[in-house]
Amino acid sequence: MSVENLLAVFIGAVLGTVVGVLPGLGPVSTMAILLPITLSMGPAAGLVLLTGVFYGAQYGGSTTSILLRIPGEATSVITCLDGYEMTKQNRAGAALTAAAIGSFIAGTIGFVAVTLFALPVSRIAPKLGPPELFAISACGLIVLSNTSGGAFLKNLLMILIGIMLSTVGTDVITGTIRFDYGFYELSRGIEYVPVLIGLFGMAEIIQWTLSKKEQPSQVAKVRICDLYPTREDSRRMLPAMFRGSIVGFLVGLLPGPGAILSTYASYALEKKLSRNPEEFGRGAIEGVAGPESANNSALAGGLIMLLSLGLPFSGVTALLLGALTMHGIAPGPTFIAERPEIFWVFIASLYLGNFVMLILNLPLVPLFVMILRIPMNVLMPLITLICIIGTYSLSNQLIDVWIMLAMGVFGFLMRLFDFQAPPLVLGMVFGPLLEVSLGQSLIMFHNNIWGFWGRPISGVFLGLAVLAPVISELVRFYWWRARQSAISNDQPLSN
Amino acid sequence: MISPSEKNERSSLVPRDAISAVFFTLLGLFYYTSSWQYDLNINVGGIEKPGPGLLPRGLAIAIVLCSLVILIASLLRSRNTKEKRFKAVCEDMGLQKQNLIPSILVILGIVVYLLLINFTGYLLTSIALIMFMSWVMGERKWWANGLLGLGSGLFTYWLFWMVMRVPLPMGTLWE
Repeated sequence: MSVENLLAVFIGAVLGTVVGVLPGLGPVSTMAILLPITLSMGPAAGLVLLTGVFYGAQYGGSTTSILLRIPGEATSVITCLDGYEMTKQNRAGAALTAAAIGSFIAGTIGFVAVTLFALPVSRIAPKLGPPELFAISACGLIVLSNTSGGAFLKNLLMILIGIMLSTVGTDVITGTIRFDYGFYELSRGIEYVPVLIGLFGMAEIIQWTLSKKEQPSQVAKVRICDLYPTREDSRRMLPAMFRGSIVGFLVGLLPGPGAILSTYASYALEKKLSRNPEEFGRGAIEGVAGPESANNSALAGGLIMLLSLGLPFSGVTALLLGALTMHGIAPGPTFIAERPEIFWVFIASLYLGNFVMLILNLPLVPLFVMILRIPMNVLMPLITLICIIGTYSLSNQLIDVWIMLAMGVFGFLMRLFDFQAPPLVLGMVFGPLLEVSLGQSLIMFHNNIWGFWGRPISGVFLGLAVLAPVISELVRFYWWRARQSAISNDQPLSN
Repeated sequence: MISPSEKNERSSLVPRDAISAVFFTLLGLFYYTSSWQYDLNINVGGIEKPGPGLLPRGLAIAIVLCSLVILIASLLRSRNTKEKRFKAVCEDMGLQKQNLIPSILVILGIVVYLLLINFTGYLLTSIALIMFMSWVMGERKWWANGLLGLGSGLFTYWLFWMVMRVPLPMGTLWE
């Protein structure tokens, strides 16, 4: 690693963190803005800069999720659930530290995984066709619909609403413009970022205005040592970080928004494995550590597909492919052998980017927590303006801001009627992939829907999609019957 | 005489889930009728392919079915269990009736902002919005509101326009 590359990682991480804090401007947008600048740098330095931006933006997004319940990116949505609850319990510092350390551990594991598994995994990837992608997406949506708590049917309804929103705009298969109702701006569809900022950011602002509760004033009285995780926190979060890293890497291998899906998968796993699952949604540190690790290691998974096959499976890897192409480099099966100097520098940047993030951000945790000392009648207008401009900057279209406002009101009403927002976001993000893979599969099967069951991988995942909620409801019904019976017999029921 | 707290604890006549289920059922039906204009299948060169209406119609049916199940389940459940009244739910969330008008003003303020921004430009409109929101949220000192509005407007203008090169509306009024 040369001085130029080290400097590129540092600058990328700082820029990424600053931008990641702003709702709307996620890692993909920031990387796109910086892409032309990387032309003036060497290919390795350019890639390293972009990777640093990605990690920085991921951490920046989780900062606002934890402190203000406003996710900077879709990958930070799940962090809101427990991160913000920890803030309300004066444990914001512990949550931020868990996010920073989790990202570092995930980056390290990702670095090892890419070097070990790049070639073997690249042999399996071509076996996943549209039917498998559809089945995996459908299974993932059904299984993960219950991640954020709440009733299964209500979460499923939110997923369906999310997919419904994703059908607005141009149909990818036929080119037909759907559900634009005369607004030409809607022909490009509804972006999920305005929906995200509306459901979380604007809804939070509306709720705060209606309740006018101040942030915990006890923050001012907390000592520096109280801002970091306790021994008990460390005991609980470290295994979650390792599990999240592995889950994130595996899910990141799948096409589509792997980083987003990995956070839901990690959260669901931690909730399942926890001895106190009722703590999730109320400030469980595993609910922050696991997903934050997963979204970082998912990049490593996506990079295997990019570097060994030349296939970008997400927006981030598509941008990295653009950067490589601009420098005259074509990733693929021969990339590692022909350009080892680029490959290994790039892999090292995965590790270094996270290391830089850790040494930069851990000392800044007390500073971030100080944001909570700003009076809410000052902070809320500021956040509103940043939400508006962050949303506007996506495509310089006011329609996005109108959508954000409408989703803000809708998101507040959802809270009032006890509906969860994360499943809706999941549905919106996966809707396009689901529709394209369904359409391509039906073309392959000549409109015969039973064709899915004729392929082993898609058949297994579709079977899981059908069986998982049935088994889950049967288990819940069994435990309900057992409790009712214990109550009527006055017998203690052991869990 | 029934005390206010007892009133909140008695079962609600119409469960919350039933209200939301009716809304989503109507939404699903609207979506279904909107999707009628798009074909289920299209014929391209003699080959049948899925049309733009396939997924929307399937989705609409699923949304309506899901909503109806939630509706029926909530009505059946309300026979056996007490559900809190809407007022009690709002109290649990910390919502206060006296803050209803300020919150409506905040939303209206943003609406007016979006209607005016292309005319008056980003800087002026944003300064006005921040000052208005700060006033609605309780800050009554005019100089504090002015300082906050000016500072926020200028800082965000510098950050997004100068540093990040995000094209902001300059305002047709000044052209």
